[in-house]
Amino acid sequence: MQSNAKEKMVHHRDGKCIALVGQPNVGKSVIFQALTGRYVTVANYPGTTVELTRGAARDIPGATVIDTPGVITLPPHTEDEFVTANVLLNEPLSVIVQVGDAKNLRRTLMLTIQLAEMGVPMALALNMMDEAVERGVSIDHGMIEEQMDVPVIPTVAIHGEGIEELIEETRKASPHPFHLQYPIKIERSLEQIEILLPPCPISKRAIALLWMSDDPVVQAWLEEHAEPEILQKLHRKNELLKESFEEAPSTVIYRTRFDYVDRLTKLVQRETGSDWQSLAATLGKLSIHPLWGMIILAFILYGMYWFVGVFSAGTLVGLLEEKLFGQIINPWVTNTLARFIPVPFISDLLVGEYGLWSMGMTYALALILPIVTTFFIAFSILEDSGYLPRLAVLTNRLFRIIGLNGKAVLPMVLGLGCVTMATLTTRVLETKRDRLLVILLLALAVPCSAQLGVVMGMLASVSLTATLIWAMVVLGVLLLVGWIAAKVVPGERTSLLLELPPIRWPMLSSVLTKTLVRLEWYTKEVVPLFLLGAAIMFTMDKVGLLTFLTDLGEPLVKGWLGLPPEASAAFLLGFMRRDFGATSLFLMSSNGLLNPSQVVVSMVTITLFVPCIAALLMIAKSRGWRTMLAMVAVIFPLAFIVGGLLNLTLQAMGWGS
Amino acid sequence: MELQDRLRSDPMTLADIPPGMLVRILQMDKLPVEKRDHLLAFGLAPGRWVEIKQHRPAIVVQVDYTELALEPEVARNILVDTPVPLRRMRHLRRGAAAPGRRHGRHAFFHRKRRGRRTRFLSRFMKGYDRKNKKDE
Ligand SMILES: Nc1nc2c(ncn2[C@@H]2O[C@H](COP(=O)(O)OP(=O)(O)OP(=O)(O)O)[C@@H](O)[C@H]2O)c(=O)[nH]1
Ligand SMILES: [Mg+2]
Repeated sequence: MQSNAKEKMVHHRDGKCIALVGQPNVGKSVIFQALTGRYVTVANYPGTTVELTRGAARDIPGATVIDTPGVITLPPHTEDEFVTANVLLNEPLSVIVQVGDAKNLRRTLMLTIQLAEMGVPMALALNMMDEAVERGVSIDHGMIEEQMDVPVIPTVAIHGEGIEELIEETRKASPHPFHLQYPIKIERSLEQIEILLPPCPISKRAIALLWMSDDPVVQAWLEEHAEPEILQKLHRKNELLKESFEEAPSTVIYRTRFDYVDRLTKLVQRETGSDWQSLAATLGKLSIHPLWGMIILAFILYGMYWFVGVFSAGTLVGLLEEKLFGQIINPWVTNTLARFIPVPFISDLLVGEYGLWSMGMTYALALILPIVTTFFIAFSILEDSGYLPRLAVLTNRLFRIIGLNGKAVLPMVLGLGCVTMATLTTRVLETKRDRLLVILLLALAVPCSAQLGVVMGMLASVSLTATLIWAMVVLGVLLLVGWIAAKVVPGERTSLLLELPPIRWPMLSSVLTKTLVRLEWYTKEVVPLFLLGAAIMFTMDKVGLLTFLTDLGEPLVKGWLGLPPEASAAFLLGFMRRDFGATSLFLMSSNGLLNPSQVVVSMVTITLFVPCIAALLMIAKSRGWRTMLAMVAVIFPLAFIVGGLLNLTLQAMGWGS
Repeated sequence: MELQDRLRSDPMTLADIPPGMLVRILQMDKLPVEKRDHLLAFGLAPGRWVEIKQHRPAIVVQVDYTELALEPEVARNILVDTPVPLRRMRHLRRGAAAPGRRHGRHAFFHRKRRGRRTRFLSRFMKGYDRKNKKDE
């Protein structure tokens, strides 16, 4: 939810550069926080970090630490893995710190070999030692160190254990002579390729190995750095090599590494073999059970509805908006203004109908802030528990209908936090087609936290039925559009393959920090927009543009959607941010201007409305302007069509009017 | 070849194995390359033992301490050996040595390595000792 775009500038060219690299969800970001003191998002699902973050190391003067997205495989397959592969090849790294999961030693060491072959000084942090011990796994890390010539430090990152040792090892890390012998044919080709290579930032052997595995990042690098005729020779070498082997060279390379790792693991790892069980593990198992999984899901959804919709939007907002702002603060502000600055224009600007204070600040602080706060708390708990990837298992069938797989649920649910960030997270999806489809659905039917808060608050004040109607219509549109889009967009569906991290108990400190960071983001980015929105409305009102636009929108808003003509203003604001439009509707409904049917129709329409400008820019950045404009061209009319149809249906049924 | 014979006579796939069983992976050549690379990276490779945890709504298997959710389309392309019930063969799950062959922990841990047995580590060893005792 926080943009890291600005951080790219902080780059110490001359100083040391330390990259944290490792498989997804092993604790790289926790270690980054420990090394730099900077906050980055940490969550219990693979694919939390999808872009680079840099920070100055606290205890190593002049050194920069880079947090990278997790890599499952090198050569990379997904966009987030490309980011990390690029760092390894294109940044002048002085140390690579691999973070690995101690309880999955084989996986960890497979990557250690690849990184050690690069010849850059490195250290291995064997993280999650607590979980390994809990499961009866013990590791003789000294032996790994001896065998591979790489310093190995056991850590428990969340408790800060082993971090000092890690810093110590990082500081004195030196190049190490790790060498794994491949079958003779591979070795011979490696030699031949290495001779051809231009000077490389990492060892030629590592580059040659990646080249033989058709690594696209190495290919791009060579296209830039090698002479064309050399490149051609290299391509020819690869073809020859492939012909001379029955299997792909990458398979042979994998097997050689795997045999080494298997032998090493048997040497250094002992397991009690005892059956490890815990409440968390049982919950994890139940949460993907065909029957229990659904019950738990229903329970979680209802819990969130109650916490965010009923408790926060009902009780808290009632207290803040009516009592605190309505009866105490706002009258006081109005009176003080009238006494000290008796200029009608100023008081209109601040506390008038579209006043900066009475509309902008009151909306932002009294209505949406409590709602998003509770939502962020609930959301952080879900993120840290490890439930989200399990949701992918439960929803896989549903996503199958729309030509996707359950993995798509991750960006979609994250979209409930912030659609802009979720658009970036689509990087973890495997194909371009999947990413495009998910981005379209995100832009169309996934409300972000601020908006969701308002929607829930408003619908909860009507009835649970109203909430259900809203949810079913939005979900229905999502499925229908997804289904059509999957038919139209060319390409094959990819089948599900996803790691399920262990269920972990969310830590209070982590949930609180995360909530606070997100609230900071909210106040920094959303509140100013509210003020801007109020200012625009105020100006338009003064110049008479508002009445003009309200008249203009009347046939659409009043005739087709069946809403009061004042709602045009809300949709106008919705262009800036959907949630701002939703808030205006919220105020209209709390002033008794909307009946239940109108509430549902307006909420459905504003939910399906175009996403905020930031999200549109992100779509344009990652998928191009034309895609973005095409999406807007689909979404905008669609929102009104669905809203109008719903209006007709509800009227025909005689519901809520 | 022994493997070839077995594949011909008994072509079972991961999708055929009921939950609660342990099974050894024989071959995964039929998978698309990206899927195979992915599985290999997770440690699901020929020769490894995996535990089948459930079939619906998606197939869930465990290899080492990694749980993976797969669709039947993927599982059907992974050929496996004869399964064994988990209860009897738990020690095979992670490809660990069989109980009889396990080394005494003394030989193993009380070897000093470059003096790197920090205080921090000894805490874990205590955990290890405790677990070990319970086991016996
Ligand atoms: N028990 C335990 N949990 C840990 C430890 N280190 C990290 N975690 C948890 O593991 C999860 C993942 O941590 P992250 O730091 O987000 O992992 P990451 O490697 O940055 O993950 P990606 O960004 O997805 O690649 C979080 O829920 C952490 O709380 C540890 O030493 N022990
Ligand atoms: Mg991370």
